[in-house]
Amino acid sequence: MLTYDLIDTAWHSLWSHRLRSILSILGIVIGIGSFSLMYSIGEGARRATIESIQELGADILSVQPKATSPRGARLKSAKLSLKDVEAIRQECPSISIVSPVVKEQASFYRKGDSESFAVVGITPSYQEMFKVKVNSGRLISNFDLESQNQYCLVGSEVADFIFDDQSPLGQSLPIQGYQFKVIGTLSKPKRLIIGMINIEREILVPLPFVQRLFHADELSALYIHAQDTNKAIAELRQFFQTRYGDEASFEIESQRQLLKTQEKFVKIFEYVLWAISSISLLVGGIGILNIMLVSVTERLKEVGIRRALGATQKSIMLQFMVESILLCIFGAFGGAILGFFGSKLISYLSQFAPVFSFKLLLISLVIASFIGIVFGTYPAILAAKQDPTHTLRYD
Amino acid sequence: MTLIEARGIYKSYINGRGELRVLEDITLKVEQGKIFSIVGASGAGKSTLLHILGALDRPSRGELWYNNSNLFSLSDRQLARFRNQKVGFVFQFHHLLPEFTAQENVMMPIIINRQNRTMAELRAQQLLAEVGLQGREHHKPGELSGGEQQRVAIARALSNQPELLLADEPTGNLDSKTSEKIYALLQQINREHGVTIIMVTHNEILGSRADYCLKLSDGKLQFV
Repeated sequence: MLTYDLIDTAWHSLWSHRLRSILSILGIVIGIGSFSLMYSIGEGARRATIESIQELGADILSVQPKATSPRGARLKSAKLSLKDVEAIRQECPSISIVSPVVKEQASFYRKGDSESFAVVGITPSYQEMFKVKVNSGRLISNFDLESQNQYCLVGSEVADFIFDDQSPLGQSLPIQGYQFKVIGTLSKPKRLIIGMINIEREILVPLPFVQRLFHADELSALYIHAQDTNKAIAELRQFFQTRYGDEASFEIESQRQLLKTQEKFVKIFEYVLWAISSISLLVGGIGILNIMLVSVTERLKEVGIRRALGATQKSIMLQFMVESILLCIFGAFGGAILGFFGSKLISYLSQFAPVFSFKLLLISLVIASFIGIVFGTYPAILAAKQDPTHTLRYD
Repeated sequence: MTLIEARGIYKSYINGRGELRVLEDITLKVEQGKIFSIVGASGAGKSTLLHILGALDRPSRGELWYNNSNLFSLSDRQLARFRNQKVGFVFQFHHLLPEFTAQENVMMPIIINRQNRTMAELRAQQLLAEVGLQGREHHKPGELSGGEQQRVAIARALSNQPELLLADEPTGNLDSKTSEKIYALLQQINREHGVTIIMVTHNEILGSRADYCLKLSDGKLQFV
């Protein structure tokens, strides 16, 4: 028989047992559904990481005093101050920009509700480094720092909580009893800046004010721009070693490293996804095998008739194989639709955007066809090997 | 002229109680263009013989000659081709595929022969008209009467213009009036197409109307 006729015949047979066909592909639908959903999540995560790396340009290092030693004892010696900033600028030649930050938590009240946001004392270099942008208003300038303007910038979540529907611009915001004028609202970053800052829940204030408000002489962190990450890290370690006699009290992290760690998590996640999908697809395949065996037993008469009409064993085998593959392909389409809407739901419910691509559909179809072949072969051979004369004698 | 010749055909089955001999030394020359009937009690081996003559089953021993070749020396694939192109089967229970229409059932052997679909459709329509089923092409077997179903089965048997038509109790499931019509149709096909017919029946009256009537009993075949 020609390919078209094979498919047409298989379709006839599947359509005439619609309910059974649908039930038999449920396993494949769920298997391919979970596979495509997880694949699209994995793809989304990978793409987000790659985009973050690309957006990053030069690497950002963060230096933070460690709260505890590796053995758990509190470290008192590890403190960063503005003097260190100056010293690093002078002693580390591969470091171009050092941005000191003081980060404190402050509670805010509104209509009986309270929320805690980060009050971050910054210098303008922080805004450059993290590509901070404003929705409205303007950023903090060097002039603001010099003239000691009591200005602040608010993240979107802060603005929503404190100012509700009103525009925060020009309003005053009380922090630790002092009034700060809102000069800008921060726009949501395109990508989350991994592991270092969460700009939506931050209030940015010129650095000296925060130090004064919270009586903080210590800096919370230094953010450092470096073209050559490894060289900069080596210089920093040397710096802390000579200055404090202990480089291990300071944690130096590079954003690129954080991204790499995240990539590792994505990889692990992908292995888990393959395991889960493989198991569900195996179960789906066994379902197909089961139904095909039932189908062969039920249709022995049909096999006998076709053989009497001149069908070869090979064409009988092909016919059942095509049915099994067709079932799995329908299952794959069903699963892909399920996965597609699942990924839409995830991107609707969260900031995370799974990537559902045409390539994924193709992969699903290939996997499904493979399952159809693997689990359809045995029933197809069984059908082809039947003695046609037995079934033709009876009604 | 001899169309097909059986030489010393034996068929036996091994069951729990030993060997069951069904056919013993069957030798038969089937003359082209004639109607042969094989009568006998049920269980005498009539269907087995018919299946062997149609190369659907292999004998335990013996030869079947067609056009100077011993059919059972051919491969299964070649035998399938022989069945498809030279033989048409009609069964007692018509054995149509229920999910296909009358026309699609008739097209089946042509499609198995990898012929063009449009041509197959035309041929099926023409054959269905010939067996008196014009206008019923798109009915499924379940929507047709017993007699009509058997007519579809006859049309299907003729679709690849076979030389030999093997009918296994073609009227076994029909009332006497319908049986008469089906037999008349077979006679008409024999006359108009020159198709050789071998018909198995337990109806001795019907059987005796064939050009040659043979009786199968105790595994042996004799002319009546």
